[in-house]
Amino acid sequence: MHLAEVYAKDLGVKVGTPQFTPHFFPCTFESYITIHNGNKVPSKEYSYWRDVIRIIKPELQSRGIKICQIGTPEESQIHGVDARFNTGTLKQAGFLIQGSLLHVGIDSVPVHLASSLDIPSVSIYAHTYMGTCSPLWNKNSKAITLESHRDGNKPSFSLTENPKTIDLIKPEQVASAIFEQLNIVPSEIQKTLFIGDKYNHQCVDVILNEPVPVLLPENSVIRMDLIHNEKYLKDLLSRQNERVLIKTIKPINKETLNLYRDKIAGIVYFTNSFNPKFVEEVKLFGIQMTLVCSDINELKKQRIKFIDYEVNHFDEKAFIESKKKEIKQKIKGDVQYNTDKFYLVGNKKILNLAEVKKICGLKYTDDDFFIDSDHMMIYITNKL
Amino acid sequence: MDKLRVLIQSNSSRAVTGFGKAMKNLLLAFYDDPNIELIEAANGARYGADLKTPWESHGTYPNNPAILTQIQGDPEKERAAGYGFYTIDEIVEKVKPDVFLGVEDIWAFKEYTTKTWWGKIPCILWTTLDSVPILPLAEQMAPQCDKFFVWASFAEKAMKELGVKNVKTIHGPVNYENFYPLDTSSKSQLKEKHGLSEDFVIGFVFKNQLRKSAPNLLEGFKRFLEANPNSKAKLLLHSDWSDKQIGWDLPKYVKEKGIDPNLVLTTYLCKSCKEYEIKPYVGEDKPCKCCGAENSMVTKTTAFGVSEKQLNEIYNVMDVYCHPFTSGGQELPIQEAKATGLITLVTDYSCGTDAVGGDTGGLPLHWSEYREPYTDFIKATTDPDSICEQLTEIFNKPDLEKQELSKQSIKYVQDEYSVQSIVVQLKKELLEFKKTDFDFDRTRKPYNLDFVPDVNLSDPDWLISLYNGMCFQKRDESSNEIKHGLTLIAENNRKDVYNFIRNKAAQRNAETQQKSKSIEDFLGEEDVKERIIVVIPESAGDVLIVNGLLSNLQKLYSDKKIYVMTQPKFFDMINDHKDLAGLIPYQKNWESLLFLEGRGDHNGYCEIAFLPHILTQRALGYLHNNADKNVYNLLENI
Repeated sequence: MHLAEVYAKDLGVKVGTPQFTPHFFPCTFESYITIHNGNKVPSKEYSYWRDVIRIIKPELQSRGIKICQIGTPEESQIHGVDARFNTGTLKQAGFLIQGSLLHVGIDSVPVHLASSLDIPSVSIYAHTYMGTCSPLWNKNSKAITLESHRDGNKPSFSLTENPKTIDLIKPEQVASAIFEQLNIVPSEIQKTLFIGDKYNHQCVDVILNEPVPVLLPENSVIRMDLIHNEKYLKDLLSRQNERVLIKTIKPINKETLNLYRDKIAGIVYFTNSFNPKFVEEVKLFGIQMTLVCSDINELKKQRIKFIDYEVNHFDEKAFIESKKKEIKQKIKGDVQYNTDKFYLVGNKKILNLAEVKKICGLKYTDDDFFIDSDHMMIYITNKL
Repeated sequence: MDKLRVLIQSNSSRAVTGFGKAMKNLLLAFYDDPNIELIEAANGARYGADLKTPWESHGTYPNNPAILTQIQGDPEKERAAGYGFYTIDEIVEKVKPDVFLGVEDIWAFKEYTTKTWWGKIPCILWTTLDSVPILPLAEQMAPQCDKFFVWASFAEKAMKELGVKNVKTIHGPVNYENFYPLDTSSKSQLKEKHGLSEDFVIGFVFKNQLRKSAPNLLEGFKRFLEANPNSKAKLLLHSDWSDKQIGWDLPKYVKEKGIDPNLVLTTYLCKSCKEYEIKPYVGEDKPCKCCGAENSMVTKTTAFGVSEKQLNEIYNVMDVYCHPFTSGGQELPIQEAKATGLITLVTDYSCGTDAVGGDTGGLPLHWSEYREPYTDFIKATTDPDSICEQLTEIFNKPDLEKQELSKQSIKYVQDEYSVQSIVVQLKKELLEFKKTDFDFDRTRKPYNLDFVPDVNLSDPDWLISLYNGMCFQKRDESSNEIKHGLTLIAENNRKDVYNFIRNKAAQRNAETQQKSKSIEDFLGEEDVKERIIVVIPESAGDVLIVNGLLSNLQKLYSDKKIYVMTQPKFFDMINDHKDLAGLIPYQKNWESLLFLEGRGDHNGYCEIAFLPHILTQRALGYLHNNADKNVYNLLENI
């Protein structure tokens, strides 16, 4: 039963249409759609709006239709929109929606405003039943609602989900619904084959094969496990403003750690036999440390030796095999991929690990593709 | 040879609590033991989580969505969940231990004696009791355990006075590796570093909370200064000075008592370089003279403190340790101070009785009794004059005598509190038990209502036999039930008492039969999607009204089977209805829409659950002065 029916039943009346008067908000665009992604309920926040925009933008741009994000400053920015309007009140948001060709968004008030103003909409649902809260009042326009399949499970009704079931809705589904509402037949369409659970996580891995001439963003990862060069490390840390992570398989000089402890967010130490002196030094300098043992046969021994730490286990070979199995069964033929992870070698930006290894003179294989697959969206594009 | 498998349940070994540290010390100590294997049941960790321990470990906080839905919003159920009540049965079934050892506050094990495995394998509780009168729950549970350990001897004494026989003192195991006396030269250097070379330093290490008698100590210190004006005494309060919400406003008390604030010291720790400094309190977020960081020097908190190596140095800067308090389970700093060779002055109540007199290296602080509001526990307020007297005693004591007391302190904690000595004691107790032959079948056995004790037994033995033979419960003469039963026999006769106990047993059998069933036991073979459940817990009239709705409900949902959940005493108000597929006896923990209909990967038990009583019985949302109208005319067929 729809929420409106529950209230109607309690009041003893039938459901009607709201009366709502928008307030003026300046917008000079003639043709535009509005898009909204709130964050009050984390379960509802969709992670792939950027990809939706990437798919629809060429078609909308060629028709002179702009994409305008509405919402409050606290809500996350959607990458790729033509404008962002911080609507101070819902009545102002209503004004923008009323002037739009279409409203696109999560299950939130703007979708209902669009419905009450008889504006077409595309809205997405996951953590609750779509039927209990979908738009109600469209008369001459249509509301397209998309519900996550949730892998066959029921809605969680939970404010937070991990992983979010709303992200099971593929960006091309949302894009197709937008095209349908705008009567656009696109020239090509994307088919998503795989989305890694770290896709959308910005990640920079830095290889110290040569000096790094740029300043790195926060939480970049210095891959001392690939090239262990303390001279370049020291040089990099001396210039850094933002804190970085270091991944290493060998101890790092304690003078460097002490001198630059404020610039090190954490150290991930990968080995089968941890050096106690190094572990103690890192602790003494107040640097966060994660210990990872890859040999299951050594794990118990290391856990006893380092009882005050949580010694994790990661088997890279097993990880690659499981990813290969998962991805290969979905992929046939040539594919494209997007990723927010890249490697920095000097000032060169490289997207895949195999190429990095090749440049650095390290051994590489096709398996290197799968190591970073969790950061990827893999898809094909079909011409129509 | 198969090791004895002991399931030990307590705070997670990763928890930074007294119990957590004790758990870690025991698990490490027993890790390579040839005869005993300890398996951890970790309170505070989620069931099914990888706890990354070298030993077998299981989190006890439930992860079952159905259980989580039931406990949500119910503080008592949440607390029970935190203590592992909802998962311990599964863990016991999985682990199949030979012995269960519970190490927690006593209320953590409330209702554990109702578990199907309790009493079928040896069950030991090892708990902290910090005050008298002894908690009734402890008195009640002790006779139902195979062994009952307490952390302090005053609790053993008090329980034995109540007639409890199987109680013994085993202190909490503490790791003293990092606490030891430094050599004279190192101590001098430390004192010099902190500007204390000429000073008589009195120390107190404590979490700033109301049961630590800091105001009493400040008053005692003040009197000591007045009585000994040339003592060059300073008081070091190693504590959190900033949180005045839950503890004492120490600067305010220093000022109020007119003590020179330069004579009351604390430990500052730098958030940046982690160096510490001992000096008078001048507020928080001060600059660090070591690394130059601004606003980085703070007094300790529960989350941020000195390392054990640094704490050892801080103890070594002291000349005497003073620990006044109202009551406590073990009070770790007392043993740490002793391990560093300090003479300790401790309130002679609660666990403090174990730290003073004899060969403990400690002197008692006298106290007066007061009663804690609401709990009625006896608490101690330490006499400032006694503090002054004992500080004077130590101040004036010849060095040789002080050295002797210091040696006693060190030996005492090694013998009584060290992990090694505790493990020896514990191992001796555990190895009294053999490998179990219990099959861990969780089916609850009904009480034997046909059992009749031998008439030739004495009254106490007759009662003990009755509890054992009919209810399968171990009792002895110290049990409350036996004591109460003897009174009843004296006032009435054995036959009346027998009938009373038998009726209780019969009632319990009936409840168990109902409770031990899951909701599925009351449902048919149809698919979940083909089911409706209407919940109407009470009362007779409401159930009759729902009876009147069933025909129309069935017409509306012709493809579904309709079940009604209500209390068994109201079954007669609805069980004649031809459209009723079945009746479910009402249970509060089933009264949840998400439990019944499902959520996430919990499939639920029906497609639709109606809970019409929410707006009538749980919240009054329908009265409207009887002036409300309705377009639907729902009564038109009446």
